[in-house]
Amino acid sequence: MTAAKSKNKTDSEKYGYFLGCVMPAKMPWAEKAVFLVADKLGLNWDYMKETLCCVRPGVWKAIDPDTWLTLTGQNLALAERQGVTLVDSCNGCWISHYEALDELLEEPEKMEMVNRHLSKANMKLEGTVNVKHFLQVLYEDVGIDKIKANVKKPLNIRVMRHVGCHARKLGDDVLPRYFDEILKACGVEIVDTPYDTMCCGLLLYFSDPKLSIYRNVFKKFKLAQDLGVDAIAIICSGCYDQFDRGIKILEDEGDPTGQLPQGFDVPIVHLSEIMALAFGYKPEEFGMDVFRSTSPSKFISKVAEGK
Amino acid sequence: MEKEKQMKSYTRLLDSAKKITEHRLEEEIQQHPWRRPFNATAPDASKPSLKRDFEQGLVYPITNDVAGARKAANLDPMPPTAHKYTEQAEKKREVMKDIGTAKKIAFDTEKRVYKY
Repeated sequence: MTAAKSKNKTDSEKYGYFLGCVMPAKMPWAEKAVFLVADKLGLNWDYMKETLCCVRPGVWKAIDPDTWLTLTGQNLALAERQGVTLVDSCNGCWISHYEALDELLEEPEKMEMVNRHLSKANMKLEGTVNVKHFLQVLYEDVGIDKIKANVKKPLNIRVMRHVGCHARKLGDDVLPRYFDEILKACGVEIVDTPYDTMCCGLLLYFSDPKLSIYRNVFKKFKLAQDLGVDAIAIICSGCYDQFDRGIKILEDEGDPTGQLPQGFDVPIVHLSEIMALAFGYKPEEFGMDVFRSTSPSKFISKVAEGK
Repeated sequence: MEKEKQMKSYTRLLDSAKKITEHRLEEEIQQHPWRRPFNATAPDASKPSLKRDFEQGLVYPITNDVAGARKAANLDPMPPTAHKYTEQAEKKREVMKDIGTAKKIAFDTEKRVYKY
């Protein structure tokens, strides 16, 4: 058991939603849908404010682990000061906060080092902060029964799901299972595929862009298209960023591998959007059809028809 | 032998890294073949985003287009992140200065360029 294991929910628990870098700049529809869902479920929910980059473990840990620990510690200290449970829906942000807190609680000399640097900004980390993944809040704190009770309109759609690598940190029976059960509670049919556990390729892009896009992204896209699913369901903003990059590369440069000769038209949809629709919200209430690389209009029509 | 063509998006990324790098090691090694080669701590592909992280505390900016899309999603055009609370990004720079991060990645904080 790790030191940073999430503490159980208390009735007075205040959640501070950590936006990260990608969601506020590229996924406004998901950000709004998260808040609609949290409101419907009666959570004591607000933004965690003043947040910085998480910071990206895949980049900073490789460059300088002490920088990663300290800058991640700055976000953890902010959450402590604001008196909130830090909640991430991006797997990359969550793994950074979860692993940094774990390491700092296990190694007091690292905590001392982090606080020495944070003191220059008049900040201090006690280590009392609680870090949770959005899926943990939904499944462990709210519960699948309450989610089901709020479903007004089972969606009756077929999706290929991509939960993302870091969501497997606690084992496949935890976050990946929560993801599946919540999707099913919303009336979604999940189509299992051989590529469900394949990485989105986000970090690989920095060292081998072709492998990252042509193998990790385009193979998934081709399969989604061949299977005729209504959407690829995601939870992680980092994975979305990579899929969005794949779509733009396909539009700008085509596909020299010949996997996607007709382009790609399957929308990448966040779990919060699926929940919001199942809870009875309309797509326009969270701007579902704006600012995305793949149009969700067919998806929206199918949900509206309920067929 | 013809060099394999790189993806345009990746070439653009490396070009923007070049623009913010004073000494381009790949080119200088051609000019000074006897110089002992070394790798920069910050990989070229990460340089633009690390610079943005240093400047605004986050990797992506809130442009006018983004602000408009946020409004269309019934959100505040400016998120309550360090984009809005810029003093938190300033604190981050203070902390980075104390760690010596800029020196480790050879980033000149005055000129806002990488030395190599």
